[in-house]
Amino acid sequence: MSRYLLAKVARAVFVVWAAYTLSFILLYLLPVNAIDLLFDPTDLATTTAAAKRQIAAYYGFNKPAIVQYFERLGDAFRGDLGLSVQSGKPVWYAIGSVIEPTLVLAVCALVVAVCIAFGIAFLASRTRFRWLANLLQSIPPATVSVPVFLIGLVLIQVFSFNLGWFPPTGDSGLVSLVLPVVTLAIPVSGPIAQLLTDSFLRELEAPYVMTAVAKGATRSWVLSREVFRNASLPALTIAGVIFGNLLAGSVIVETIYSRPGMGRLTELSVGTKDIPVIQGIVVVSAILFALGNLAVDLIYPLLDPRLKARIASQ
Amino acid sequence: MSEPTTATTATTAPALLRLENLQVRYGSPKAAAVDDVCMEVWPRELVAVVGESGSGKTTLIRSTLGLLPSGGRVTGGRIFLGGSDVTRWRDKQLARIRGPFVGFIPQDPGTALNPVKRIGQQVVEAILLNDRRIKGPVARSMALEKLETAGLRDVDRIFGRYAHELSGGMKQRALIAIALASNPKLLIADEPTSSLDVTIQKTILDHLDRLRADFNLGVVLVTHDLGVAAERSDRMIVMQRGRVVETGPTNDVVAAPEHRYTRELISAAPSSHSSRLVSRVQPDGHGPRQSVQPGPASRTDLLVVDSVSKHFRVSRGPSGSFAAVSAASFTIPEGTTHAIVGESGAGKSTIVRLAVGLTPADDGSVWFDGSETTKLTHELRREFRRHVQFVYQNPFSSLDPKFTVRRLLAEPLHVHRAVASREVLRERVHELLAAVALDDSFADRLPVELSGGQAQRVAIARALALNPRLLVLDEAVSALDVSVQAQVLQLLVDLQAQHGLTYLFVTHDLGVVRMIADTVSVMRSGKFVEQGPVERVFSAPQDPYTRMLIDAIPGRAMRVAGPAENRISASIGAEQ
Repeated sequence: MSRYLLAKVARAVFVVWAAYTLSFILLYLLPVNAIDLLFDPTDLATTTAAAKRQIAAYYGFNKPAIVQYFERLGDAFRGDLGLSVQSGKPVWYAIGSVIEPTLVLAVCALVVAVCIAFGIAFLASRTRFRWLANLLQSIPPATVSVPVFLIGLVLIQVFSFNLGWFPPTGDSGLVSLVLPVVTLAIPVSGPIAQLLTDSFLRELEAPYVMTAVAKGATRSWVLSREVFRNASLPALTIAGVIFGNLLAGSVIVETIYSRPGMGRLTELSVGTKDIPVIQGIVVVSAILFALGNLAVDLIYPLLDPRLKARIASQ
Repeated sequence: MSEPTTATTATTAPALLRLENLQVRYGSPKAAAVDDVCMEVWPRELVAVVGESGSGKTTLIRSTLGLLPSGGRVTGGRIFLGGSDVTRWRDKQLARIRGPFVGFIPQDPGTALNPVKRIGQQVVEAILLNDRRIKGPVARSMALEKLETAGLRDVDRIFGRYAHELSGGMKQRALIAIALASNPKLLIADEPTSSLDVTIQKTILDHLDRLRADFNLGVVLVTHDLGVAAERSDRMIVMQRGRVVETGPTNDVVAAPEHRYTRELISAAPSSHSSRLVSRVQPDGHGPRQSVQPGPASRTDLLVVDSVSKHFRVSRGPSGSFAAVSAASFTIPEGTTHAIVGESGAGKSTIVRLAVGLTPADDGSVWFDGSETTKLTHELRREFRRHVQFVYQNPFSSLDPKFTVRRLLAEPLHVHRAVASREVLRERVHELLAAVALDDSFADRLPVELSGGQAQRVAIARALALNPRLLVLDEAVSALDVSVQAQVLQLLVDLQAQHGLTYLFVTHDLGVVRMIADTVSVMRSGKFVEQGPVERVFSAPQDPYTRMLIDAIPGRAMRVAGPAENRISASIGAEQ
């Protein structure tokens, strides 16, 4: 068991390190001149060579790449991700001030998405009517194929401008959270719903279901007490995809609804080429992603006794 | 339809199960999966439904429980359970009699238990589903009692176990406990022991017999195994293509089958008194070993396995290994068949892998045609691989589903660069198909377009493609229906005579051993407990385990051939 734990923690650390290294290569080494990127393009012509050298020395760009890498990695390891070019404040500060609204948005959206997914899966496997099951099964692919911004615009149009139920923008309490959460939840629910529906329908054909029915179980009982757990387990395996969708979706959703958050910060930093902040966002995302997957890996054996036995025998 | 076996039961209560001209269809309206079937089951009676795959026997009994898979529906006739017509009952109504009136024992114990629930909980639920007034602790002690009734010992420990922690036999007993949970009057068992070892099959069936007597249960036993049906049932229903072809008291049916199909089934069924099949063909002289003269004296030993051992590590530490095979030796003279027989987990697969060099042995040596296989040069090793070919249990998983039969047969020839031109290849494919009695039209088919027997013939043809000297047949006929099994065994015997092939035959089925093998090794827990000529081992087994295995072979009842004996057993059957 401890070996399993150790391997999973090692993997999480590796993911974060790899994200850091890749982003370092992409952001600092590949551009023709990383220093030029630090300046506003319009100011670039007027900047003197001496100023550039001073800046290069300040950010350590005058050192060999490998030295830069290890220095920065060492700093990052101690929690120092550098300074924002735009604000001059630490990257941690920039990210720390916006991470909370994004986490609230993402967690709420995840909860709603999981509810939608289970709803679709339950109804599709519970209904006696084939047409309804087919209709329900066609929803998940549809939600994935519609772009997030389109969902957002339609929701704003209907619920803000026409009905006036929710504010179209801003971050003013729970009411303003509803539309962004729904907008983000819809595409995120797609892959989960698809997997769950397939999984529910497949598990319903499993021999143990017949055993249950033969001992007197009704269809609802079979769904909730026999199939539910077995069918839900595979959904945990796409946790990585879900985290990815949440992060990518939040960039778009926060932009549409003008909400503060990591997504907005990403958009802003990319627009102003604030490289330390961009790398900071990549690293923080990688940490969240790795922690999420680690949590799934640790929870899975608790839900599936077979996996637990396999780990114990290793 | 058959009469109730005794007059008293007929007058006091209605039949537990009565089917009147039942018809079941799937999707397409053309063919009925079950057509015009009538049957009755009375208390304390065991009725066997016998048939090969696709005969509709499973559909038949599932329809009686309202457990048809989606798409299946009853399109004619009526189903009575305990006297009430349940044909048009809804799921909710049926749920109330499933459990308290009729218990069901499913086919494959490996998948029939919920993998994420403890065994005890599954039994407790079976009790509570049908009587919600029972309190938790009471239900627990009732569940423990049911597990004991089902023949399990150490029930307190098993109560808290998961399915994957139990053996197949224990899982099947847990399923019996679930079926018995609400004290049913009728038990329906769908191939309950088909995936179990013979000795476990025997104890489970013995136990069912005892339960039937103790609780006055009526039992429907669905089986493909005529031996099991003949030995255990009072009455027998033989099905073919959805219809009942023969029905009656078991002893009558076995002793004097009226329908041709029943006669075929009985003659094809391997049992403890089967005898060695004789080749129908003469050696054609084209075989690769023309020099080999018939007669045991002149035969050389093709494969010699000399006290090989294999240990597998199961956990760290010095004591954490177990001996899959320990000091096993056997010899196969060229042109003969050696069978390795044993129950699951005995180490049969491991000894085969050791014998053909797929797994290196920890100890001992293997000699093929006079040279030690571990010391072969690269070139000779390739030659050795060509001379040893395999046929596995499930042809559909060992044949690439996307390859045509032609490509499947050509592949080994390509791999060993054994074919010169396209014409030669076509000719060779034709020869191989002819060898396994398939015509050329099969060459362009895909595996899905073949029946189980045809697919296994293709697998055999593929194994023959390189003119091997030794064929390893790993449970090669175990998945086939008895009539098809008999044909494939005959084919193997013919091929052996024709080409002077040597067979290493691995099986759990002692009946099959009698039909094809010359010598046999009985394996248990990695050791050979008995070896010798088949006739000697079967007629005078030395080891108690061998004796137990032979005793467990179902179908001893089918030996009754004399008319006098028949009458006696028939009257015993009628008394029940």
